[in-house]
Amino acid sequence: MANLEVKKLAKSYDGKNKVLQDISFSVNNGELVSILGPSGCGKTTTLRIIAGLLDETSGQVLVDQADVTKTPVYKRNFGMVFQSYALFPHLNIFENVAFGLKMRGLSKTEIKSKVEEILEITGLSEFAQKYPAQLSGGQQQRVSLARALVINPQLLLMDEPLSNLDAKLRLKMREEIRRLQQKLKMTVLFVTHDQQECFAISDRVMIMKEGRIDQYDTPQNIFHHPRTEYVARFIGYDNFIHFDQAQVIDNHHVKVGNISFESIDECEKAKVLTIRPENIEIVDQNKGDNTILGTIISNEYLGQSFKYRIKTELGEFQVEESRKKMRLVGEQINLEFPAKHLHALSE
Amino acid sequence: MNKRAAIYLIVPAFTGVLIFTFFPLIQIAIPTFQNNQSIFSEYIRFLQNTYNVQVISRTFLIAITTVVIVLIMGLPISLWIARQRTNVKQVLSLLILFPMLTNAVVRNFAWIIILGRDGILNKFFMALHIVNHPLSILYTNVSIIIGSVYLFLPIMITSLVGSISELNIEVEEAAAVLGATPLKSFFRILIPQLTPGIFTGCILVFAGTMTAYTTPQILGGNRHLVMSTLIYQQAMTLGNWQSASVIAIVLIIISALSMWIMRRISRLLDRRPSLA
Repeated sequence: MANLEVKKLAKSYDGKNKVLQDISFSVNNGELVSILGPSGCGKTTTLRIIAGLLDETSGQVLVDQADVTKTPVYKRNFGMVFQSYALFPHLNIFENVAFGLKMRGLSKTEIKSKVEEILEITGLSEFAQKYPAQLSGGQQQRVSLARALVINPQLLLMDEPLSNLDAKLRLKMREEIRRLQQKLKMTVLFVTHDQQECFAISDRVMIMKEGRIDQYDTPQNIFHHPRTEYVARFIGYDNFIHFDQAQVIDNHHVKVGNISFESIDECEKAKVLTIRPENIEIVDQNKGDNTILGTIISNEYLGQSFKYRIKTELGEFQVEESRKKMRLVGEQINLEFPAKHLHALSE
Repeated sequence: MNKRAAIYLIVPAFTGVLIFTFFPLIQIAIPTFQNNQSIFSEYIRFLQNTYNVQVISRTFLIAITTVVIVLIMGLPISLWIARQRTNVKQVLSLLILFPMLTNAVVRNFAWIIILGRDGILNKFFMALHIVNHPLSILYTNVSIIIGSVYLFLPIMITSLVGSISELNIEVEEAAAVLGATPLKSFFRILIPQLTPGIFTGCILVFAGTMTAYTTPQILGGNRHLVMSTLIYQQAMTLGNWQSASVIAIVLIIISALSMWIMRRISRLLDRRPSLA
């Protein structure tokens, strides 16, 4: 497969509202990159422009250094998996998978051997003569994947491929996609709005916000070092303490209200402190720094832990605690924010 | 509700259909078989008359030509309408149906004005020196076909817009990504998916044209009779009810047979398994 480079991609439908702006990134050969974001952030638009299904307003798409921006979609040699699977309803599974090869003018014997091989790999051999409507969602999904892979594409594009499957099947399919991707050393661009899904299978994750890239990094780096509040919110940092530069004491200390906080990150150019609900500790004694007094305003049982919403002088915080007994609403408690888990964000 | 109760409930409607649909049909059919010589002799006599056979083939030819023209014209228009935004689509669909709100006689008189010897079309052709003598379009098969196309195009478009709107556009995008040019995608992906809609449209237009009376009466004149105008002439002008009944039955048989053939063709093209 190939590498992909996107340079300064922009898209606007009416010349004023920019759906995409300044999208630049690259995907290395054999890498699986996810684009993550809520609906309307431009992730599908980006994918469709790369596929050639949508015209860009400006910018370039390069595959192995060759500019394909003006190449029509049917000449691009990419594979694409759609959210609706988009199988051809009037063709059986064999013919569905064979379609791309037929368009490329391969001989009947070549088509037969290639289709049979990919059906074997994807475990679909027994369904060759069935029609899409006779298959389950998971099976249709695999046909869609087989159909995209059989043409030996330079790049595999996947547009929310798992969102129409039930939770259990979604887990199974994402493992299968990852396994196939690594086995066949595919370059994959995967669009999703499911954070867990994309962290589980991606080499790198691109988080988009309002038509821009907010952060592009490995899942581990994003998880431990979110760059902005937006990214942090997206990946489950539910607690935020806003401050301004006047409240910064030194590079690792900030004083908000009467409480001084110590953070593992540098605070001098930061604006927000954030911490995950499971990293906040409920302690008996208020030791002063990094600790705040609060009252429980709601409690929720999550199975392995309890989740509380706690009201404090710095606003509400969400805390997860593993404990045998649920704390009651109205109980007064001290929250401690361990410095090693308290991150400082610049935006 | 149990099955027995359901059967009782269906009785009134069923009786209604029986009385209002099948009883008149049978009443028309019975006299045509009451002949002294043999049961089919009225039909044999009818088909031995070359003029009658000419009328049958003209009717059939006009209907088939109309279906083909309406399909070729309707498909691109329907595609265009179906792929508009929802509100634009609604407005366009209404506009398409608008001609059907006018009276059939009035619409056909409009075509007389357009197609006549001194009509708009001939004046236009003469002015551009495309022709030197006015063309005789009116009172020919051509004018009947033009009138029928005008009459049935909205029906075809309505039927096709419905089917196209139901299609998943991602299917065609998938074909494009897999290397299908727009032309290949049209014939290999779009048309096969539309077969049921095309079939329904063709049946409606075919049956409509075969049995239409006003249009061939006004635009065909007395020398270009079709089966429906022939029935009228036999019954009302000549008072030959027996003959009129025979033609009516022949018309029903031809229409039913053609529809059956079209259905077979459509089944052959649409290989999707029917999922009940």
